[in-house]
Amino acid sequence: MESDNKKTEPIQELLASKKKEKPGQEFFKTFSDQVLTRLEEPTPKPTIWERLNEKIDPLRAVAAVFAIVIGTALIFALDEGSTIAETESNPLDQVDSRMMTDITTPNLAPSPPIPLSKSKNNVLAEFGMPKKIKSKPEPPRILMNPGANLKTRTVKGRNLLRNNSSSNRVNSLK
Amino acid sequence: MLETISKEKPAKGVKAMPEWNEKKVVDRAKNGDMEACDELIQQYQERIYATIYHMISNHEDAADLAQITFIKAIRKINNFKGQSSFFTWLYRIAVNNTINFIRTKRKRVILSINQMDEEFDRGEELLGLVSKETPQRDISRLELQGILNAAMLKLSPNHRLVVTLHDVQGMPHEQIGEIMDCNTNTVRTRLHYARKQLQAHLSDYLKQ
Repeated sequence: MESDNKKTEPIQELLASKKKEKPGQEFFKTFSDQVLTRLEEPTPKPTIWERLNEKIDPLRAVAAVFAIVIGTALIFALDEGSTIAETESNPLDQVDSRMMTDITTPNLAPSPPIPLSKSKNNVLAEFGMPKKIKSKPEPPRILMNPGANLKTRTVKGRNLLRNNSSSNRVNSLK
Repeated sequence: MLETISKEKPAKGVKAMPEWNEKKVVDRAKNGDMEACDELIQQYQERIYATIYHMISNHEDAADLAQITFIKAIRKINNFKGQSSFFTWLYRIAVNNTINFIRTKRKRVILSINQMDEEFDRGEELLGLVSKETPQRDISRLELQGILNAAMLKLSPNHRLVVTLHDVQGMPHEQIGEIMDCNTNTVRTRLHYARKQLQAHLSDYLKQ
């Protein structure tokens, strides 16, 4: 440190010379009176901004607000990022919940793959999903069934619905 | 500390007071005695003004800030509990005012240099510090003063304050620590750094 002091000797001398920079003596003769005169003057109450400005450094305040904004954005971004990462690492989350339920059932023992046609209890082998299959499948509903409500009528011993034309006969060998 | 009689000499142009007891004067000022306030102002006006002036290098602003410092001190004198000397308390007000001023008026920096004392006005002593080997040899005293003040303004407020209090006003490290509310080592470190910076700014002018 002493070597530094020796090095900075000219600068210290120069700084010491600043002590000689003084205003004229007249300035200090009237200084006290000026202060006392100003002291008696009513001072306007400082506004909130003036008080804040006096207590808080505006540059630091801006820096603090900026830091808070950045911090909040960072926390939000990290939170969002972790949600995305969780979803990507566990693709089963994207599977239908019904499938998930059955797969994760602890009592379900792993069974050899069975063809769909031979599955027991109508359970799909791959997914373990029960599928109710009716024993007698209903015929497909047809909205139009021509002639369904017609009754056969006989007019003079002749069935009108019966087509006895030669083209409609089946020749069978006797 | 306050019990002791101040050894400070009264300012120039002020009636010499046989015994200047700071505590008694402060107590009188607390009771609204304007004469006591006047005594306090006259006692410290030069040093308070000088500190502010060397920090902002502008006479008009320094005069205004010095007045504001005393006005604030007198208005809030009842808040002074005597935990430090009145002088230190007053300096703190001046320093805080000045630092706030520097922060708010950062963009408006106008140098207005005071004239040197008559005995120093020849400037030969000052110019003797300028390097003979640099092209800046023909610099005038006023120019050198301006360059030094401009270099001071490049320092941060805290570094400027340490240099002003120690190297310009000759205050001990301990007292500077009290005023700046930091320890002596911090004062030393800041002083060292500030000198280095000034040295760098004035390297073209000063003797190596």
